Amino acid sequence: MSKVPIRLTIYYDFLSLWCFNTLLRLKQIEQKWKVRMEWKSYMLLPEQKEQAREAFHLASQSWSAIIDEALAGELKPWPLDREVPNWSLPALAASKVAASFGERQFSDFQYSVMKGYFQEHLDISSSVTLVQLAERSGMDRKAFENQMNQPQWQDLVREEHQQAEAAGIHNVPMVVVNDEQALAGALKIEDYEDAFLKVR
Amino acid sequence: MLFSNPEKLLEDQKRLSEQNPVVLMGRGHSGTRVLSWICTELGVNLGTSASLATGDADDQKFTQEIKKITTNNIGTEMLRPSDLQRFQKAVSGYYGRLNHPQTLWGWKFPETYLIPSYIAETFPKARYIHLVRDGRDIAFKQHLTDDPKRKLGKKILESQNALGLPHHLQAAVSWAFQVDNFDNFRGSVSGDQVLDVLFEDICTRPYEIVEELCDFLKLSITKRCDSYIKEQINVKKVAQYKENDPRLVQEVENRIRPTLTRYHYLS
Repeated sequence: MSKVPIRLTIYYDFLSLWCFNTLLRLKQIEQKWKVRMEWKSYMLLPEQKEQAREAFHLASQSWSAIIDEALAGELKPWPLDREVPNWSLPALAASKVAASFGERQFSDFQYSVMKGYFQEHLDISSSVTLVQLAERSGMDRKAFENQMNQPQWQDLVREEHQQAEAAGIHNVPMVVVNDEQALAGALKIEDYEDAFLKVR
Repeated sequence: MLFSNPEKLLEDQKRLSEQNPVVLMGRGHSGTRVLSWICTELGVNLGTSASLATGDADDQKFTQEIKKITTNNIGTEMLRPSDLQRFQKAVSGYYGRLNHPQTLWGWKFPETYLIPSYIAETFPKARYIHLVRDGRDIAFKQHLTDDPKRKLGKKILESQNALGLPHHLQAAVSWAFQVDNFDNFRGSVSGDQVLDVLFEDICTRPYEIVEELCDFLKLSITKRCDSYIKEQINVKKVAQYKENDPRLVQEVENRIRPTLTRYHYLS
Protein backbone atom coordinates (compact mmCIF):
# COMPACT_ATOMS: atom_id res chain seq x y z
CA MET A 1 0.00 0.00 0.00
CA SER A 2 1.28 3.47 -0.90
CA LYS A 3 2.83 5.55 1.86
CA VAL A 4 1.38 8.75 0.50
CA PRO A 5 -1.47 9.71 2.81
CA ILE A 6 -4.94 10.10 1.41
CA ARG A 7 -6.26 13.58 2.06
CA LEU A 8 -9.83 13.84 3.22
CA THR A 9 -11.64 17.13 3.55
CA ILE A 10 -14.72 16.45 5.62
CA TYR A 11 -17.53 18.96 5.85
CA TYR A 12 -19.53 18.33 8.98
CA ASP A 13 -21.68 19.69 11.76
CA PHE A 14 -21.86 18.38 15.29
CA LEU A 15 -25.65 18.52 15.09
CA SER A 16 -25.82 15.75 12.50
CA LEU A 17 -26.00 12.14 13.59
CA TRP A 18 -24.90 11.11 10.11
CA CYS A 19 -21.72 13.13 10.69
CA PHE A 20 -21.19 11.22 13.94
CA ASN A 21 -21.45 7.96 11.98
CA THR A 22 -18.98 9.29 9.43
CA LEU A 23 -16.57 10.18 12.21
CA LEU A 24 -16.89 6.71 13.78
CA ARG A 25 -16.39 4.98 10.43
CA LEU A 26 -13.42 7.04 9.29
CA LYS A 27 -11.72 6.59 12.66
CA GLN A 28 -11.90 2.83 12.14
CA ILE A 29 -9.97 2.97 8.88
CA GLU A 30 -7.79 5.99 9.50
CA GLN A 31 -4.64 4.01 10.33
CA LYS A 32 -5.10 1.32 7.70
CA TRP A 33 -5.29 3.85 4.89
CA LYS A 34 -2.95 6.48 6.33
CA VAL A 35 -5.67 9.02 6.01
CA ARG A 36 -5.07 12.67 6.75
CA MET A 37 -8.32 14.30 7.71
CA GLU A 38 -9.19 17.97 7.59
CA TRP A 39 -12.51 18.78 9.21
CA LYS A 40 -14.35 21.78 7.80
CA SER A 41 -17.40 23.48 9.20
CA TYR A 42 -20.83 23.42 7.64
CA MET A 43 -23.63 24.87 9.72
CA LEU A 44 -26.99 23.14 9.56
CA LEU A 45 -28.28 25.85 11.89
CA PRO A 46 -26.35 28.92 10.77
CA GLU A 47 -28.37 31.31 12.92
CA GLN A 48 -29.56 31.05 16.48
CA LYS A 49 -33.03 29.59 16.47
CA GLU A 50 -35.15 28.05 19.21
CA GLN A 51 -36.01 24.41 18.54
CA ALA A 52 -39.41 22.99 19.46
CA ARG A 53 -38.67 20.45 22.18
CA GLU A 54 -41.61 18.18 21.42
CA ALA A 55 -40.64 17.84 17.75
CA PHE A 56 -36.99 17.39 18.68
CA HIS A 57 -37.89 14.67 21.17
CA LEU A 58 -39.86 12.84 18.46
CA ALA A 59 -37.06 13.16 15.92
CA SER A 60 -34.50 11.86 18.42
CA GLN A 61 -36.44 8.62 18.78
CA SER A 62 -34.89 7.42 15.53
CA TRP A 63 -31.31 8.04 16.69
CA SER A 64 -30.81 4.59 18.14
CA ALA A 65 -31.73 3.07 14.78
CA ILE A 66 -29.35 5.29 12.83
CA ILE A 67 -26.22 5.23 14.95
CA ASP A 68 -23.48 2.72 14.22
CA GLU A 69 -23.11 -0.53 16.11
CA ALA A 70 -20.46 0.77 18.49
CA LEU A 71 -23.03 2.96 20.20
CA ALA A 72 -26.17 0.99 19.36
CA GLY A 73 -28.57 0.88 22.26
CA GLU A 74 -26.84 3.79 23.97
CA LEU A 75 -28.73 6.64 22.35
CA LYS A 76 -32.01 7.47 24.04
CA PRO A 77 -34.60 10.03 22.92
CA TRP A 78 -33.95 13.61 23.96
CA PRO A 79 -35.65 14.33 27.31
CA LEU A 80 -38.42 16.90 27.07
CA ASP A 81 -37.07 18.91 29.99
CA ARG A 82 -33.60 19.43 28.44
CA GLU A 83 -32.47 22.49 26.51
CA VAL A 84 -32.07 21.74 22.82
CA PRO A 85 -29.01 23.11 20.95
CA ASN A 86 -30.15 26.11 18.97
CA TRP A 87 -27.12 26.99 16.85
CA SER A 88 -24.31 25.19 15.02
CA LEU A 89 -21.70 27.89 15.41
CA PRO A 90 -20.53 27.59 19.06
CA ALA A 91 -19.50 23.92 18.94
CA LEU A 92 -17.79 24.27 15.58
CA ALA A 93 -15.92 27.37 16.78
CA ALA A 94 -14.94 25.54 19.96
CA SER A 95 -13.56 22.70 17.86
CA LYS A 96 -11.31 25.23 16.10
CA VAL A 97 -10.07 26.32 19.51
CA ALA A 98 -9.41 22.67 20.40
CA ALA A 99 -7.47 22.25 17.15
CA SER A 100 -5.22 25.14 18.20
CA PHE A 101 -4.25 23.04 21.24
CA GLY A 102 -3.17 20.12 19.08
CA GLU A 103 -4.36 17.22 16.92
CA ARG A 104 -5.05 14.86 19.79
CA GLN A 105 -6.98 17.50 21.72
CA PHE A 106 -9.06 18.25 18.66
CA SER A 107 -9.81 14.60 18.04
CA ASP A 108 -10.77 13.95 21.67
CA PHE A 109 -12.86 17.09 21.85
CA GLN A 110 -14.69 16.28 18.62
CA TYR A 111 -15.65 12.82 19.88
CA SER A 112 -16.53 14.20 23.26
CA VAL A 113 -18.90 16.80 21.78
CA MET A 114 -20.63 14.27 19.53
CA LYS A 115 -21.04 11.82 22.38
CA GLY A 116 -22.06 14.55 24.78
CA TYR A 117 -24.78 15.70 22.44
CA PHE A 118 -26.22 12.44 21.19
CA GLN A 119 -25.65 10.25 24.21
CA GLU A 120 -25.73 12.57 27.19
CA HIS A 121 -28.18 15.11 25.77
CA LEU A 122 -25.93 18.09 26.45
CA ASP A 123 -26.73 21.48 24.98
CA ILE A 124 -23.65 21.91 22.83
CA SER A 125 -24.63 25.40 21.78
CA SER A 126 -23.88 26.52 25.34
CA SER A 127 -20.36 27.80 25.94
CA VAL A 128 -20.50 26.49 29.52
CA THR A 129 -21.06 22.95 28.23
CA LEU A 130 -18.32 23.32 25.62
CA VAL A 131 -15.76 24.43 28.18
CA GLN A 132 -16.66 21.45 30.36
CA LEU A 133 -16.21 19.12 27.41
CA ALA A 134 -12.85 20.73 26.64
CA GLU A 135 -11.76 20.08 30.20
CA ARG A 136 -12.94 16.50 29.88
CA SER A 137 -10.76 16.21 26.77
CA GLY A 138 -7.69 17.22 28.74
CA MET A 139 -7.46 20.92 27.91
CA ASP A 140 -6.88 23.66 30.42
CA ARG A 141 -10.20 25.23 31.31
CA LYS A 142 -8.98 28.80 31.67
CA ALA A 143 -6.87 28.75 28.51
CA PHE A 144 -9.72 27.25 26.53
CA GLU A 145 -12.17 29.82 27.85
CA ASN A 146 -9.83 32.65 26.93
CA GLN A 147 -9.51 31.38 23.37
CA MET A 148 -13.26 30.83 23.07
CA ASN A 149 -13.77 34.54 23.59
CA GLN A 150 -11.65 35.42 20.55
CA PRO A 151 -13.82 36.23 17.50
CA GLN A 152 -11.39 34.65 15.04
CA TRP A 153 -12.73 31.12 15.59
CA GLN A 154 -16.31 32.01 14.79
CA ASP A 155 -15.08 33.97 11.76
CA LEU A 156 -13.20 30.88 10.59
CA VAL A 157 -16.30 28.72 10.89
CA ARG A 158 -18.39 31.23 8.95
CA GLU A 159 -15.72 31.44 6.29
CA GLU A 160 -15.59 27.65 5.87
CA HIS A 161 -19.35 27.49 5.70
CA GLN A 162 -19.43 30.13 2.97
CA GLN A 163 -16.69 28.36 1.03
CA ALA A 164 -18.66 25.13 1.20
CA GLU A 165 -21.81 26.81 -0.06
CA ALA A 166 -19.87 28.44 -2.87
CA ALA A 167 -18.52 25.02 -3.84
CA GLY A 168 -22.06 23.66 -4.16
CA ILE A 169 -22.10 21.84 -0.83
CA HIS A 170 -25.49 22.26 0.80
CA ASN A 171 -25.60 19.38 3.23
CA VAL A 172 -23.40 17.19 5.37
CA PRO A 173 -21.59 14.90 5.78
CA MET A 174 -19.53 15.42 2.65
CA VAL A 175 -16.16 13.77 2.32
CA VAL A 176 -13.84 15.00 -0.43
CA VAL A 177 -11.05 12.56 -1.26
CA ASN A 178 -7.75 14.06 -2.49
CA ASP A 179 -9.71 17.00 -3.95
CA GLU A 180 -10.89 14.59 -6.64
CA GLN A 181 -13.94 12.74 -5.46
CA ALA A 182 -16.77 13.97 -3.25
CA LEU A 183 -18.78 11.45 -1.28
CA ALA A 184 -22.11 12.77 -0.08
CA GLY A 185 -23.91 11.30 2.90
CA ALA A 186 -22.62 8.86 5.50
CA LEU A 187 -21.31 5.97 3.42
CA LYS A 188 -20.47 2.48 4.58
CA ILE A 189 -16.84 1.73 5.42
CA GLU A 190 -16.49 -0.41 2.31
CA ASP A 191 -17.70 2.46 0.12
CA TYR A 192 -15.08 4.76 1.60
CA GLU A 193 -12.45 2.09 1.04
CA ASP A 194 -13.56 1.68 -2.58
CA ALA A 195 -13.12 5.39 -3.09
CA PHE A 196 -9.67 5.30 -1.45
CA LEU A 197 -8.62 2.46 -3.76
CA LYS A 198 -9.53 4.56 -6.77
CA VAL A 199 -7.24 7.41 -5.78
CA ARG A 200 -4.35 5.16 -4.82
CA MET B 1 -25.14 4.87 -34.60
CA LEU B 2 -25.66 6.81 -31.41
CA PHE B 3 -22.11 6.49 -30.14
CA SER B 4 -19.74 6.58 -33.08
CA ASN B 5 -16.86 5.30 -31.00
CA PRO B 6 -17.45 1.91 -29.27
CA GLU B 7 -14.58 2.53 -26.85
CA LYS B 8 -16.16 5.77 -25.76
CA LEU B 9 -19.46 3.96 -25.30
CA LEU B 10 -17.87 1.41 -22.96
CA GLU B 11 -16.02 4.11 -21.09
CA ASP B 12 -19.23 6.11 -20.67
CA GLN B 13 -21.16 3.04 -19.53
CA LYS B 14 -18.53 2.26 -16.92
CA ARG B 15 -18.43 5.84 -15.70
CA LEU B 16 -22.21 6.00 -15.41
CA SER B 17 -22.46 2.64 -13.67
CA GLU B 18 -20.34 3.98 -10.82
CA GLN B 19 -22.73 6.84 -10.17
CA ASN B 20 -25.64 6.59 -7.76
CA PRO B 21 -28.09 9.28 -8.84
CA VAL B 22 -31.22 10.05 -6.89
CA VAL B 23 -34.20 9.62 -9.20
CA LEU B 24 -37.64 10.84 -8.25
CA MET B 25 -40.17 8.37 -9.55
CA GLY B 26 -43.83 9.22 -9.68
CA ARG B 27 -46.63 10.04 -12.06
CA GLY B 28 -47.11 13.74 -12.81
CA HIS B 29 -49.55 15.49 -10.45
CA SER B 30 -48.57 13.15 -7.61
CA GLY B 31 -46.68 15.84 -5.74
CA THR B 32 -43.40 15.27 -7.54
CA ARG B 33 -42.88 19.04 -7.63
CA VAL B 34 -42.97 19.29 -3.83
CA LEU B 35 -40.70 16.28 -3.48
CA SER B 36 -38.29 17.72 -6.01
CA TRP B 37 -37.97 20.98 -4.11
CA ILE B 38 -37.63 19.18 -0.78
CA CYS B 39 -34.71 17.18 -2.23
CA THR B 40 -33.21 20.28 -3.81
CA GLU B 41 -33.38 22.09 -0.47
CA LEU B 42 -31.66 19.09 1.11
CA GLY B 43 -28.76 19.72 -1.24
CA VAL B 44 -29.48 17.19 -3.99
CA ASN B 45 -28.72 18.65 -7.42
CA LEU B 46 -31.76 17.72 -9.52
CA GLY B 47 -30.85 20.03 -12.35
CA THR B 48 -33.86 22.20 -11.79
CA SER B 49 -34.02 25.97 -11.51
CA ALA B 50 -36.17 28.39 -9.59
CA SER B 51 -37.78 29.52 -12.84
CA LEU B 52 -39.14 26.03 -13.37
CA ALA B 53 -41.93 25.61 -10.84
CA THR B 54 -42.43 21.95 -11.74
CA GLY B 55 -39.07 21.00 -10.23
CA ASP B 56 -38.32 19.06 -13.43
CA ALA B 57 -34.80 18.79 -14.77
CA ASP B 58 -34.26 22.03 -16.65
CA ASP B 59 -32.42 20.46 -19.57
CA GLN B 60 -34.60 20.10 -22.61
CA LYS B 61 -32.05 18.09 -24.56
CA PHE B 62 -32.30 15.47 -21.83
CA THR B 63 -36.04 15.61 -21.22
CA GLN B 64 -36.90 15.54 -24.94
CA GLU B 65 -34.89 12.36 -25.35
CA ILE B 66 -36.53 10.79 -22.32
CA LYS B 67 -39.96 11.55 -23.77
CA LYS B 68 -39.06 9.79 -27.01
CA ILE B 69 -37.59 6.77 -25.27
CA THR B 70 -40.61 6.49 -23.00
CA THR B 71 -43.07 6.66 -25.88
CA ASN B 72 -41.10 3.94 -27.70
CA ASN B 73 -41.27 1.64 -24.74
CA ILE B 74 -44.89 1.59 -23.63
CA GLY B 75 -46.19 -1.94 -23.58
CA THR B 76 -42.79 -3.57 -24.06
CA GLU B 77 -41.12 -5.55 -21.34
CA MET B 78 -37.69 -5.98 -22.90
CA LEU B 79 -35.04 -3.30 -22.97
CA ARG B 80 -34.32 -2.15 -26.51
CA PRO B 81 -30.53 -1.94 -27.01
CA SER B 82 -30.87 1.12 -29.23
CA ASP B 83 -33.00 2.91 -26.63
CA LEU B 84 -30.60 1.90 -23.88
CA GLN B 85 -27.75 3.54 -25.76
CA ARG B 86 -29.92 6.53 -26.42
CA PHE B 87 -30.82 6.78 -22.72
CA GLN B 88 -27.18 6.48 -21.72
CA LYS B 89 -26.15 9.15 -24.16
CA ALA B 90 -28.92 11.44 -22.95
CA VAL B 91 -28.12 10.99 -19.28
CA SER B 92 -24.39 11.27 -19.89
CA GLY B 93 -24.99 14.59 -21.65
CA TYR B 94 -27.25 15.74 -18.82
CA TYR B 95 -24.61 14.88 -16.22
CA GLY B 96 -22.01 16.74 -18.27
CA ARG B 97 -24.22 19.80 -18.61
CA LEU B 98 -24.69 19.75 -14.83
CA ASN B 99 -20.88 20.13 -14.75
CA HIS B 100 -20.27 16.61 -13.42
CA PRO B 101 -21.51 17.36 -9.91
CA GLN B 102 -19.56 15.72 -7.14
CA THR B 103 -22.38 16.23 -4.67
CA LEU B 104 -25.62 14.23 -4.73
CA TRP B 105 -27.31 14.54 -8.08
CA GLY B 106 -30.21 13.10 -9.98
CA TRP B 107 -33.37 14.30 -11.63
CA LYS B 108 -37.11 14.51 -11.52
CA PHE B 109 -38.91 14.06 -14.78
CA PRO B 110 -42.15 12.11 -14.55
CA GLU B 111 -41.72 10.32 -17.87
CA THR B 112 -38.80 8.36 -16.42
CA TYR B 113 -41.32 6.70 -14.10
CA LEU B 114 -42.25 4.59 -17.10
CA ILE B 115 -38.74 3.38 -17.92
CA PRO B 116 -37.18 2.32 -14.60
CA SER B 117 -35.33 -0.61 -16.19
CA TYR B 118 -33.30 1.76 -18.34
CA ILE B 119 -32.21 3.60 -15.21
CA ALA B 120 -31.32 0.38 -13.36
CA GLU B 121 -29.38 -0.99 -16.31
CA THR B 122 -27.38 2.23 -16.56
CA PHE B 123 -27.05 2.97 -12.84
CA PRO B 124 -27.04 -0.26 -10.80
CA LYS B 125 -26.55 1.86 -7.67
CA ALA B 126 -29.30 4.43 -8.38
CA ARG B 127 -31.59 5.42 -5.54
CA TYR B 128 -35.29 5.73 -6.26
CA ILE B 129 -37.68 7.89 -4.31
CA HIS B 130 -41.04 6.50 -5.28
CA LEU B 131 -43.94 8.86 -4.80
CA VAL B 132 -47.54 7.71 -4.95
CA ARG B 133 -50.69 9.78 -4.60
CA ASP B 134 -54.22 8.52 -4.19
CA GLY B 135 -55.38 7.41 -7.65
CA ARG B 136 -58.81 8.86 -6.97
CA ASP B 137 -57.31 12.36 -6.76
CA ILE B 138 -55.35 11.72 -9.95
CA ALA B 139 -58.47 10.52 -11.79
CA PHE B 140 -59.93 14.01 -11.78
CA LYS B 141 -56.80 15.75 -13.07
CA GLN B 142 -55.45 16.09 -16.60
CA HIS B 143 -52.01 14.81 -17.50
CA LEU B 144 -50.26 13.97 -20.72
CA THR B 145 -50.14 10.31 -19.71
CA ASP B 146 -53.94 10.13 -19.81
CA ASP B 147 -54.53 12.43 -22.76
CA PRO B 148 -55.46 10.42 -25.89
CA LYS B 149 -54.44 13.40 -28.04
CA ARG B 150 -50.84 13.14 -26.84
CA LYS B 151 -48.60 10.42 -28.23
CA LEU B 152 -47.60 9.06 -24.85
CA GLY B 153 -51.11 9.19 -23.40
CA LYS B 154 -52.54 7.48 -26.46
CA LYS B 155 -49.98 4.68 -26.24
CA ILE B 156 -50.67 4.06 -22.57
CA LEU B 157 -54.44 4.10 -23.01
CA GLU B 158 -54.19 1.86 -26.06
CA SER B 159 -52.09 -0.64 -24.13
CA GLN B 160 -54.76 -0.71 -21.42
CA ASN B 161 -57.75 -0.85 -23.81
CA ALA B 162 -58.90 2.42 -22.32
CA LEU B 163 -59.20 4.70 -25.35
CA GLY B 164 -62.99 4.55 -25.29
CA LEU B 165 -63.42 5.30 -21.59
CA PRO B 166 -64.51 8.62 -20.07
CA HIS B 167 -61.61 10.78 -18.91
CA HIS B 168 -61.81 10.05 -15.17
CA LEU B 169 -61.44 6.35 -15.89
CA GLN B 170 -58.70 6.89 -18.44
CA ALA B 171 -56.75 8.88 -15.88
CA ALA B 172 -57.37 6.24 -13.22
CA VAL B 173 -56.29 3.39 -15.50
CA SER B 174 -53.20 5.30 -16.60
CA TRP B 175 -52.28 5.92 -12.94
CA ALA B 176 -52.71 2.26 -11.99
CA PHE B 177 -50.69 1.18 -15.03
CA GLN B 178 -47.79 3.41 -14.04
CA VAL B 179 -47.81 2.45 -10.36
CA ASP B 180 -48.10 -1.26 -11.20
CA ASN B 181 -45.30 -0.91 -13.74
CA PHE B 182 -42.96 0.43 -11.05
CA ASP B 183 -44.05 -2.22 -8.57
CA ASN B 184 -43.22 -4.92 -11.11
CA PHE B 185 -39.81 -3.36 -11.58
CA ARG B 186 -38.88 -2.88 -7.92
CA GLY B 187 -38.04 -6.57 -7.42
CA SER B 188 -35.08 -6.17 -9.76
CA VAL B 189 -33.24 -3.76 -7.45
CA SER B 190 -32.24 -4.04 -3.83
CA GLY B 191 -34.90 -2.99 -1.32
CA ASP B 192 -32.64 -0.37 0.20
CA GLN B 193 -32.45 1.43 -3.14
CA VAL B 194 -36.12 2.37 -3.04
CA LEU B 195 -37.88 4.72 -0.65
CA ASP B 196 -41.66 4.74 -0.89
CA VAL B 197 -43.38 7.99 -0.05
CA LEU B 198 -47.09 8.76 -0.08
CA PHE B 199 -48.05 12.27 -1.11
CA GLU B 200 -50.67 12.37 1.62
CA ASP B 201 -47.96 11.71 4.23
CA ILE B 202 -45.88 14.59 2.90
CA CYS B 203 -48.89 16.86 3.41
CA THR B 204 -49.96 15.62 6.82
CA ARG B 205 -46.66 14.76 8.52
CA PRO B 206 -43.95 16.43 6.45
CA TYR B 207 -41.24 16.41 9.11
CA GLU B 208 -41.43 12.67 9.63
CA ILE B 209 -41.31 12.07 5.90
CA VAL B 210 -38.36 14.39 5.43
CA GLU B 211 -36.61 12.56 8.21
CA GLU B 212 -37.20 9.27 6.41
CA LEU B 213 -35.86 10.91 3.29
CA CYS B 214 -32.77 12.09 5.15
CA ASP B 215 -32.25 8.61 6.55
CA PHE B 216 -32.53 7.20 3.05
CA LEU B 217 -29.96 9.66 1.69
CA LYS B 218 -27.92 9.54 4.91
CA LEU B 219 -28.00 13.32 5.15
CA SER B 220 -29.18 15.84 7.68
CA ILE B 221 -32.19 18.11 7.42
CA THR B 222 -31.15 21.60 6.34
CA LYS B 223 -32.50 24.97 7.33
CA ARG B 224 -33.60 25.61 3.74
CA CYS B 225 -35.60 22.42 3.70
CA ASP B 226 -37.14 23.26 7.05
CA SER B 227 -38.26 26.64 5.69
CA TYR B 228 -39.63 25.06 2.52
CA ILE B 229 -41.79 22.65 4.53
CA LYS B 230 -43.14 25.47 6.66
CA GLU B 231 -43.98 27.70 3.71
CA GLN B 232 -45.01 25.37 0.91
CA ILE B 233 -46.73 22.24 2.19
CA ASN B 234 -50.49 22.42 1.85
CA VAL B 235 -52.54 19.91 3.79
CA LYS B 236 -55.66 20.81 1.77
CA LYS B 237 -54.31 18.88 -1.19
CA VAL B 238 -55.21 15.58 0.46
CA ALA B 239 -58.33 13.66 -0.73
CA GLN B 240 -59.37 16.25 -3.30
CA TYR B 241 -61.45 13.57 -5.03
CA LYS B 242 -64.15 14.16 -2.43
CA GLU B 243 -65.11 17.33 -4.28
CA ASN B 244 -66.30 15.19 -7.21
CA ASP B 245 -69.51 13.29 -7.91
CA PRO B 246 -69.47 10.24 -5.58
CA ARG B 247 -70.80 8.02 -8.39
CA LEU B 248 -67.76 8.85 -10.51
CA VAL B 249 -65.47 8.23 -7.54
CA GLN B 250 -67.14 4.84 -7.09
CA GLU B 251 -66.48 4.02 -10.76
CA VAL B 252 -62.83 4.90 -10.29
CA GLU B 253 -62.57 2.75 -7.18
CA ASN B 254 -64.14 -0.20 -8.96
CA ARG B 255 -61.76 0.16 -11.87
CA ILE B 256 -58.44 0.40 -10.00
CA ARG B 257 -59.31 -1.31 -6.72
CA PRO B 258 -56.25 -3.66 -6.55
CA THR B 259 -53.74 -0.82 -6.81
CA LEU B 260 -55.68 1.44 -4.43
CA THR B 261 -55.90 -1.42 -1.95
CA ARG B 262 -52.21 -2.26 -2.22
CA TYR B 263 -51.38 1.28 -1.17
CA HIS B 264 -54.04 1.22 1.57
CA TYR B 265 -56.24 3.87 -0.01
CA LEU B 266 -59.02 1.31 0.18
CA SER B 267 -59.35 -1.47 2.68
